[in-house]
Amino acid sequence: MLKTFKKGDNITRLSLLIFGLGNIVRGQLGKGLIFLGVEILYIFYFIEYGIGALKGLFTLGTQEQGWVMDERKGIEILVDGDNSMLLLLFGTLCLMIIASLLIVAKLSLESAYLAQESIEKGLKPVSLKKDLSFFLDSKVHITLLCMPIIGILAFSVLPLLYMILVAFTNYNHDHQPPGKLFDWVGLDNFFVILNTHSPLGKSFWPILSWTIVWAIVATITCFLFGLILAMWINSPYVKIKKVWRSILATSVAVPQFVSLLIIRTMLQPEGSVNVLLKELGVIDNALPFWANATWARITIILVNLWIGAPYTMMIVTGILMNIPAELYEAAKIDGANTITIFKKITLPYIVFVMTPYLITQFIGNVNNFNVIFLLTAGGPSTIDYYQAGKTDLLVTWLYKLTVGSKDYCYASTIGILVFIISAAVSLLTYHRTSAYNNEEGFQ
Amino acid sequence: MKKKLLCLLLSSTLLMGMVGCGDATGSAKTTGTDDEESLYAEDAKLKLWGSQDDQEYLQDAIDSFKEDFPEAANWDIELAVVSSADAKDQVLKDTEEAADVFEFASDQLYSLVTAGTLYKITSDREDVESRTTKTAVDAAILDGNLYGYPSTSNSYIMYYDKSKYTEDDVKNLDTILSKDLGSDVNFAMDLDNGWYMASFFFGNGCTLFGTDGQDASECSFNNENGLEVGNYILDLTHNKKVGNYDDTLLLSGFADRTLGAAITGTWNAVAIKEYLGDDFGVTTFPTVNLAEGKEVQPSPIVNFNIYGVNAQTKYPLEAMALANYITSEKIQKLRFEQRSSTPVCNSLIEDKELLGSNPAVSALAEQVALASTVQTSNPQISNFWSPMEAFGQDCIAGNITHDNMQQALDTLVESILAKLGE
Repeated sequence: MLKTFKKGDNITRLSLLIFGLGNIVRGQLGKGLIFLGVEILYIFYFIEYGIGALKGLFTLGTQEQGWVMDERKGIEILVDGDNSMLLLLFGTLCLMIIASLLIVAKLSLESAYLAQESIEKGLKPVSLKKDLSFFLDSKVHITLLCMPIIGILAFSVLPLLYMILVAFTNYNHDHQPPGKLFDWVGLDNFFVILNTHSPLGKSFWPILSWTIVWAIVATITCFLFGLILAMWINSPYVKIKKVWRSILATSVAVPQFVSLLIIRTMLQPEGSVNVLLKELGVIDNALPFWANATWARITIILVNLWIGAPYTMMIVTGILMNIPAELYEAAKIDGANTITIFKKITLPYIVFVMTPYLITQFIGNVNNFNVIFLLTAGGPSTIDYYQAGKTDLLVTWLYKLTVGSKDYCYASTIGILVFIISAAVSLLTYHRTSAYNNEEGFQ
Repeated sequence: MKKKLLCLLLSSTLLMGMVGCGDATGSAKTTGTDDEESLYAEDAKLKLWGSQDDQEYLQDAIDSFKEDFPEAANWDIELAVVSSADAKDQVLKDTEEAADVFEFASDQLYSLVTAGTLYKITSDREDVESRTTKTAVDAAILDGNLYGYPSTSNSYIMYYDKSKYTEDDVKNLDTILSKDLGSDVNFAMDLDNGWYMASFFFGNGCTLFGTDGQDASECSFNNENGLEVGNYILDLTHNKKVGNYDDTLLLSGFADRTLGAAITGTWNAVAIKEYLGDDFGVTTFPTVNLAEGKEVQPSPIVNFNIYGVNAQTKYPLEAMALANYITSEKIQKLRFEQRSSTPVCNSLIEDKELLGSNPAVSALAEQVALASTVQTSNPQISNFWSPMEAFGQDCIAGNITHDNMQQALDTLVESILAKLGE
């Protein structure tokens, strides 16, 4: 852009301020007017709403909701105050509009420079009709992508920005709009959560460590168990392979939440498993599947195996069937035994293909809301944590803080911290995988 | 360009919304000056929320409202299902879309008021205060302002199976537990729920948020008396004759007659009566022997269901008229008859004959007279439930023992009094 600005003449440069000027002067009237129209719309928006929105974003509201006596009705009538939440939302929208304005300004400059260039070369600048026809031809990607991108900006990026900004406010249970205003507090929420002496910090660190332990153990157990199942089915001694595979895959066919809720009920103190064991005389007291923290954690990991391992099994089966048989034959001729073959051929193959999958599984497990929430809802609760239980992951705790106690700002802060952890882990590990470094090595 | 349009669209909808609101209030005023006589709109549209079980009685109440209140004849009153327990979540989610009149539990008062979602009740205040018991009115008051119309009180009492226990047996919890009922469970209650567990602490003289329930920096659950209670609760959780049952388990226990006695709310009275038939027994909370020769009467928490008027309603006066009517003596009586709800209207509570027709409600009235603690409306109460639940679960899991009970109670108090962001 800077280059274009340097090369352009004054009219082209002025197009950065007056959109479409270069085009209008150089005979592209239609195109120029469109640019100019867009600029007028922008100016209208800023005068009418934008300045207010920016001010609102800065102050997050100054007027609290109040009550005014209505003499005739004999009651106090509500007078609406500022709504910090809406001010933050429209302020964020305004920031995005400013960003789009910059993009349009850049387009205007470039378009003016193109026109200038054509004139300098002694050509006639392209007509509007021809310009538009490019959008169905050489620029068809822009036409196709424009709707999805607008959708993503409106329904993903805007809410995301809004929610990130909430982490820097005191939007908690004491500051609920429309009754109360909330305000910017800078990095305070991060200090509160990371501080090991605050009630939230005392919960954050233990929950974080359980989250990481859970994610690692759940990922590895599912991988190993699925691998063993797949190897077993694939071994030449097993007959009717398809039947075994189908039986093992049935747990995938049942919707996950159904299995989880049924297992939750089955393992209750008065659930079928405990009742059955008691009737058989195996135990006297109900086994504390969900009541004891260690029991609950182990049970969750085992149940997760039931749900997760079949996926790994199916993927590994696919990989195993793809390993060229000649490799095995050659190895056998050279006198390698089963273990050597597994170590030198099978495992490297699987690891090569599976590492990126394992990384996504790990991140998925860090945020594995379903399994935890449906099985234990975070329980057993403990007085050591703030509004959380021993099996709560950061993501389920975040849910409790949002839906339960309306502490949005802390929930948002935790969300950002989880993102930082997940992003760092996945980038670091992914860059070390052979799938990334040695793409050609496959085969 | 498209983005621009989208934004314009968004902003214009917002603007239209504002203009729309302005219009509504404006026109209301002009019609007012034209017709000084009626303060009420002729075609008000009101939405009313109540729990699933209450729909029938509420429909009856609306019908009778339209009869008794001629101005309301043409009002469009819509009934929808949102229980008093869920009211806070639903109202705070989107106040404008929430019902004009909704029922909420008194412990939600602070959150609803701080979020500015409740109308102050000014013109009807004298009405409400004159007909309602003082404790119920107090539960609807915050900073001196009245924010709703109390309708019913909730607490818990003991139900028992008369084929298993006599009236004398059920006076003391330790007598109940000492009886051998074979494989049946002697006694059940929700042991990891602060609402029920707190009764033991209150009964033994511990206080939550000071004696008046308003000092958020004070909780004496960890003093000597609290220690006695903590140890007693710990023993209960490890006693095989005691079931830690929530409502569902408790009802199924009575249904298959494997349960002797249980603590639960009046809302379960109808179902338990159905299961036990002639063996249905109901009485006050039994006393407990906390120490050698120390018999204590637990003091259950009482809270109230209150009808509130949404601050965003377009028809405040009309909504207040409706809320006032459905909490009137007539409708409280209707609710008592249809739903076994405990009234909060003085004249009904004093009517011994009426209350006597429902043993559960009269047991509750007796309990309230004997020992009860009104649930505080102090905002810090929102921090109370989670630690209490955790305390119960830690007792059940065996993380808390007699040896570390004092320490556990100290942590409990610390969590209850914790302030975020400090």
